[in-house]
Amino acid sequence: MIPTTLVTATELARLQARGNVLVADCRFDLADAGKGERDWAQSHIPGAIHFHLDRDLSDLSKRALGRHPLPHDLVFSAALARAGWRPGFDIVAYDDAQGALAAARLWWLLRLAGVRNAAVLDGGWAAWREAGLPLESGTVAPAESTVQLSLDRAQVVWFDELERRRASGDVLLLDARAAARYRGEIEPIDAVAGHVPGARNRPFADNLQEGGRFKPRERLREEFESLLGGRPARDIVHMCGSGVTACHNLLAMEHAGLAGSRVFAPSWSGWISDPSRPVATGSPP
Amino acid sequence: MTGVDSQRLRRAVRGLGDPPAGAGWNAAELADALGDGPLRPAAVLVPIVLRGDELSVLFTRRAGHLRTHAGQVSFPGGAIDAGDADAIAAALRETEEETGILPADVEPFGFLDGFDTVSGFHVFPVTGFVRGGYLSRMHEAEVEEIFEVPLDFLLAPANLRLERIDWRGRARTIYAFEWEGRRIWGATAAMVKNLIDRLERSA
Repeated sequence: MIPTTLVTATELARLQARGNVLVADCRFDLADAGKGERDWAQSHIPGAIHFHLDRDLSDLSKRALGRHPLPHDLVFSAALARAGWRPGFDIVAYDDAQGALAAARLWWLLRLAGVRNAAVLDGGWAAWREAGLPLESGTVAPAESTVQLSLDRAQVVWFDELERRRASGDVLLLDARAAARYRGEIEPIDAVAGHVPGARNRPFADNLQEGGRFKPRERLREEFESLLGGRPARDIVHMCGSGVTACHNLLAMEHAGLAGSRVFAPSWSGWISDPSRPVATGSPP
Repeated sequence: MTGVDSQRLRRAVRGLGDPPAGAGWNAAELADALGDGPLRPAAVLVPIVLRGDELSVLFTRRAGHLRTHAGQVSFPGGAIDAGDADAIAAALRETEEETGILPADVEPFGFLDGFDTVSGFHVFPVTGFVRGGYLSRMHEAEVEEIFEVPLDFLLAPANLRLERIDWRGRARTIYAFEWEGRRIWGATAAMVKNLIDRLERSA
């Protein structure tokens, strides 16, 4: 069984030598939806299959659920089947954004599907290259499988639960966007700037240390425990712009041994799809 | 649809001497999603469990390393091997391998229409009555769970969900049922839908 949160580049190389591991290239550029796939075709970790955030890890035809609604079971299953994944295979996901876009998203979707033997490559693409490990270019044609998974949507936080728990106060909403977006000073993507009233800001970049690796477990644990202020980890609900970088905070908490937090999948872009929902700006009091 | 009994089911399906031929009933839906290669023949058992007047449909959940109930829900079945006399023999063999249910506890009584899967199989769905007192050998089985859903639940129109998605360039409809936290969707749910359609047509 592989680590269920993060693996290092050398650990991944060892896993590949052992076999039965699927390497998932999840590189994605929000400003250029085709770039990640082109980068993959040019050069990737040997055997890696590209997973496309918009096509494989989202269902863009859904409305009012944010910019990256969860993919339909069929689409997610077909992506894994095309990659030749089958139960028992470990999965390691990587990207060139320290796990935030969109390796942690794939890792989270796998958890929703009940697949726990999955991890994110700590430091991602850069860490693999810095380790001087081999690269490969061109397409990869694995033997397709017939796997069919279901995402357990009950593990996801939707509007009704969030509303209920905001009203009763038994939720700590953590927003993973950069501080300036959280405060509403800039908004490069969504139509409205600001944050959900009551949400706290925990930019996903705070999970990282210099060089782009995750901070040590103990440090992450201290930081999230200080945010929790004695609450249980399950009180935390993560959000971001569209339910992608929020997964990075979830991954950091799970890595730190704080299990059970969840993601409000529609996130900011879903929240503002109904103009009657309240919006806050600035820093919290 | 209510009051469906075993006689009604026998009337609704294709006879044992009339196995489906040609492309699957859903072939048009998959035309642009399948490769050029020939489809591999496969067989599943659509197991209808009989306990007096109570009818239920048996499903398996294949889990492997999956820890939650999210694993794949299927009918028992698999590829037709060279050693199988026919689709019925393959369905019974796979059923025994996966669930431990013995062929002696199953009475095949017909076929549903052929079904093509995204994964490149042409499936012969064999309908069979399973004796209510069947024994499964779960400890040796390839599946994590065997469960039954009352036939009446599957036949109630409100319980059939039509999920519309855009995939590989066009809109598609996926069938699904939710039963006690378990999700039955895709090929398996579509075969149930085919049974419902055949029951309605034969009423």
